[in-house]
Amino acid sequence: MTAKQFFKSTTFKCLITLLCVLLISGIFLTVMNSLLKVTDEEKFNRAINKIYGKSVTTEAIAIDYTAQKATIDEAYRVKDDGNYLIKATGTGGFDSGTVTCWVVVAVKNGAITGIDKVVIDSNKAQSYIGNINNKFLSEFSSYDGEPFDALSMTKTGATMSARAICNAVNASIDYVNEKWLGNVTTAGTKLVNALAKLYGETQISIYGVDENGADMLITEETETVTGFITAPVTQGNATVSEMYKVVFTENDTEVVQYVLTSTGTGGFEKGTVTCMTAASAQADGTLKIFKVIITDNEGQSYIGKINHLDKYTGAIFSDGIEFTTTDGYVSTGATMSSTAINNAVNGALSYLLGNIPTNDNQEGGDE
Amino acid sequence: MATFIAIVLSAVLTNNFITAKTYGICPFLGVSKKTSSAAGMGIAVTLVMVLATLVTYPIYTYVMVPLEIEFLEIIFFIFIIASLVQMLEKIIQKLSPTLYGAMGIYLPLITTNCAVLGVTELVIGDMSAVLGEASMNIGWATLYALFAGLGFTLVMIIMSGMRERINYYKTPKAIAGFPIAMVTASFICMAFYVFSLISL
Amino acid sequence: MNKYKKITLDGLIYQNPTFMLVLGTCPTLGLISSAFSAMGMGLTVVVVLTLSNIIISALRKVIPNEVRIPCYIVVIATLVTFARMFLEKFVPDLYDSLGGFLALIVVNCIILGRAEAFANKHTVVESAVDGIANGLGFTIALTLMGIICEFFGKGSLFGLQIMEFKIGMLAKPAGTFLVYGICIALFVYIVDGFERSRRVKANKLARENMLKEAA
Repeated sequence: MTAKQFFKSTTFKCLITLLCVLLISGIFLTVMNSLLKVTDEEKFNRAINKIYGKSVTTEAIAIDYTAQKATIDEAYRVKDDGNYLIKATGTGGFDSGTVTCWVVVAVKNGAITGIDKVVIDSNKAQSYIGNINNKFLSEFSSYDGEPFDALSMTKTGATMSARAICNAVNASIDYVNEKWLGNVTTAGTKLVNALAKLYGETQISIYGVDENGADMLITEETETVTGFITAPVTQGNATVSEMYKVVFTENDTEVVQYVLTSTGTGGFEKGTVTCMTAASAQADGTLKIFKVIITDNEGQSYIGKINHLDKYTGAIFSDGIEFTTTDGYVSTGATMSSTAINNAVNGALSYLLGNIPTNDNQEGGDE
Repeated sequence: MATFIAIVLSAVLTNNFITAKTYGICPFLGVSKKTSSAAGMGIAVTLVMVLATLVTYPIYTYVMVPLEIEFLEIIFFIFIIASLVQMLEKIIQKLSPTLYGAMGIYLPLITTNCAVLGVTELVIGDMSAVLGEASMNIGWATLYALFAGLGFTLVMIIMSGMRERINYYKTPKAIAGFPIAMVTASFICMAFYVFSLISL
Repeated sequence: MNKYKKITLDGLIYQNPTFMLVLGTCPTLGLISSAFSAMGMGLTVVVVLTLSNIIISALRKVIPNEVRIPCYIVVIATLVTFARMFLEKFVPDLYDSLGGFLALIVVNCIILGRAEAFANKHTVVESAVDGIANGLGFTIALTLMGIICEFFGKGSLFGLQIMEFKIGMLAKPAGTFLVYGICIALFVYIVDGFERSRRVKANKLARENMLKEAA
């Protein structure tokens, strides 16, 4: 085939056409690309605006913060209204997974006024995250200074995921509060808040120990709090981690009680439940439980079904007694979690029984 | 190892191309009347998916991204897939006429199969949900393509088995053909939905 | 004018790509779980299909027969890439909700099918009408099923929450397969019935005419 024949052949024509079509397409797309390219900055702004619901300008701010149950991934200050936009990953979700969400922390005059919005970004292993509804997410808008607790919010059918979200939101609040608003929450405040859940409105004095081993009054201003237990102690199927003395007056009598934090094992899916148990020592050497509340749990998907905690109030504990699920200390639908609670309470009380502080001259605290 | 298991589970069961992503439905409905042809189509698609990923992934990562011509990806990919299919057809025809007899007729159909373009587009995108901590590379990409193809074949074979049974019965005219096939596919999807509850 | 009416009716009803020919099934099944994304996909296809039909019809005398398929694919891929850029820039919501299916328009059988079956044999205007008709046929079918799936599967319409009651399965592939199958059956049944009654009517008319003539 000569060159001339080749140039006239169909093969050549085909090649030329194909190349032309390709070239024109390539040029057209290159031009369009330079015209329509979405820059990374624009993409980021879009993502932010989508969360925020309106267009705002933001600046990234330093993170440098460690929270216990969550990590702060990204943080921005919204220039337009002074709010903070935090991306936080909360732990403690279903199957030890996490939930990452965007939290808009509204700030006015140097104080957090509320949580404007919580948007779920992504999750790890949260099979039931679809159950988290808008009603649940909108409940974050009413912020009263207290950390959010998933159990006291709308039931969603995804208890664990809800908890991870609460952890992320709480960490975001603490981060903004401590890092940018300078409102460092003292250890004392945390303890006072925690115990307020047990005692409600009752005026109480909380005592820990000072460096000499003597009782020390703990107030909201106390920066370092030392309880009667310095290192966690294993007691039966539980780990007792904290113990404080609480004194209050009831009917003109002074009541002395001890509050112990203990983590019981044997829960659902080998998880644990952490409880706070308040009890007083009686003259005959037994203990009388004032109240038990749950403060934390690990992997207990059905913890929301626990409704038998009132049963502990007034119960007597002494050597040889143990609260068990067969004695009725159980909630239907959460047997394993109930077992863990019993373990925690038993552990706390048997520890208390053997270690009632005697370094003061107050009376036994019987009512 | 964990990444390997995650990829296999995700590609075959939890994020199966047909039952979860609805890619490659045309051959799924068109060539699933007989188990033998469904299996042939499935294997042919798997082969093309693996080869296409093996070619497109390095081209995208090492040529298109450095040259900043990512926007041409669709043209590049579809062209590569079309040429691959053509080449494969010729090679199989030359090497093994028996194999060509079994698979040859499906090959031209594969160019316009979403599953092939779909997998090449997927592996260059964000795969962090599947890979976890590990970062994407050619090995994982090919592995994903292989198992996505096998998952496709699996569902094809299940579907063809069900359709063979359905053929024994008389179906009303209005639902014969595509409608009954869709309803059958719906049941397969429901069964596969259970796998999406697996989490690693 | 009758010619255009026939093209339009074919595209919308008698050869409706979704219900009658069952083409472009992947995006259909993947996107009808939400009415918004279904309609967005439909409209994108209308634009891409019309443009590709016009371009291919205009080039039908230039492109040699041997390389027509690769040329069509390049044209379609270019248009899809353009559509993708356009949506990403101006309609990011839709871009996000279409996800991977946007790129997969390239291998949507409807577009290549219309190019091969219609555009390379007809004039530019006819091809444009055919593109719009087929695209709209696709859009209407998708939107219809999108509304059904979203209403029962998510209790919402176009993202607007209407009721609490929902059958979650219908917004999953299992449900979209089911709804698609049922819709095909219903559509074919209705069109068949319509055709039959039209034929009966035409026959009756013809008979009357014959009788009149006989009289």
